[in-house]
Amino acid sequence: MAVPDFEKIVDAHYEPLYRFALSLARTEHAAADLTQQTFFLWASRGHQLRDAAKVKSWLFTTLYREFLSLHRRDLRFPQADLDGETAELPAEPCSIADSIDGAAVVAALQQIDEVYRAPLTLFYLEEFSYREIADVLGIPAGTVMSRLSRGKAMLRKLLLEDSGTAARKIVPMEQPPFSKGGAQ
Amino acid sequence: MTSKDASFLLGACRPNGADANDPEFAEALVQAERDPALKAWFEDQLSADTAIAARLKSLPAPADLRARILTGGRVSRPRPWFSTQHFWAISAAITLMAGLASWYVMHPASNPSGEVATTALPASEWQDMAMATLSQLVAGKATFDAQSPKIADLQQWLHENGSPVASALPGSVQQMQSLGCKIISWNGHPASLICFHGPNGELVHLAMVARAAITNPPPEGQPLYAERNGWRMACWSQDGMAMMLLTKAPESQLRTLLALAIMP
Repeated sequence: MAVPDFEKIVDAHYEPLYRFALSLARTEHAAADLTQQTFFLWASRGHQLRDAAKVKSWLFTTLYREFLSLHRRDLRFPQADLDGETAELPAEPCSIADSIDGAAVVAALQQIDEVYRAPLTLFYLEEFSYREIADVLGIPAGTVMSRLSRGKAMLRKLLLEDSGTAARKIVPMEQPPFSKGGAQ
Repeated sequence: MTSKDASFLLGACRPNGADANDPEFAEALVQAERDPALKAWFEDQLSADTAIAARLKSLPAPADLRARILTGGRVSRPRPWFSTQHFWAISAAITLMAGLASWYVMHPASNPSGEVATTALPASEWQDMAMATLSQLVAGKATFDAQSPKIADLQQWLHENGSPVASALPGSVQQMQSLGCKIISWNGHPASLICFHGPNGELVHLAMVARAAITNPPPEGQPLYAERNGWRMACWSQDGMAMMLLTKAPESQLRTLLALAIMP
């Protein structure tokens, strides 16, 4: 299958790539830069790819590697091996309130450690199966499952906490802590 | 397969049904049919995952991102170097660069912002973008990148993250209690938004972007006052930046805030 032209590839993938970048890079400007850089790399190297079916995974893999190369020093990998972990059925059903929006989802994702955040974002973008996520991130499929299980529990906890407050709206603050990388 | 094993597998099943025919999940789905507790758990998972996925996918990309990618892609694409046409084009480019280098040595210039050169856009487009983002922040549909009641904290954070910020804000603005700040991308330039509580309880916002990004930037010195889409604004230039103070309160409050300001 022939690789489509540049504009068609951009139209098909730039929005999900930007959303993935936003969950990784934390600010809109950095996410836009990361997305742009990924397409620049495609424009200069993508002609080497002959299989159109691999364009999407090439773009997501490249964006993730670019992010890692820029932020490697900031990453903190947990010591525990999660591969053998199994999920517990939660005691109570979890519901995501109607008041939660896309920005709240990204804000919650950004509070989660990067090792969970990347597979979790790819899972919710629904562009890849768990095996394809493993290929994009360069980790075993079992590890993707473990990280999804743990990451989903963390994300829902954050979203449920968030839906119980109106703190994301601009309201007078008594003495809010100075925080970087996310609003309350 | 136990229900625990099945729940572990089903947690990786995409909510849009794309994995419905994946044999990896078949046995787990059969187990869910047998175990009512597992089935209820899986249905709840799918419902929550569907909601989260829909909200994540509703986030818009910056309005100018597609155009920037296409423009960048055109200049980044490789061309066959061996064609006669390209050989002469490269030769001409080398000659031109040599000429420009000689000219540059004789006429040095600086580009302190370090920004990729982009075509400047009208101030009205910058104002619309800033107002749209501020409306999202006020409605809780966008979040701050950093928060502090002290403006000095936010100035330092913006500076450290490479976004434009004036070190000395007009007197009354510097004394307001800040809420938070956000970096946005506009026309290839980082732009800074800071939100404050005004002295009368109204919300006041400061927007800053490189002057070079705008075709008709405001003048240095005394601010120009205007009204647009229900917002009252005061615009001026300072330290190579286009500054804009905005509020939905009456214009008189902006004038009061800036009345004692020492404009450069």
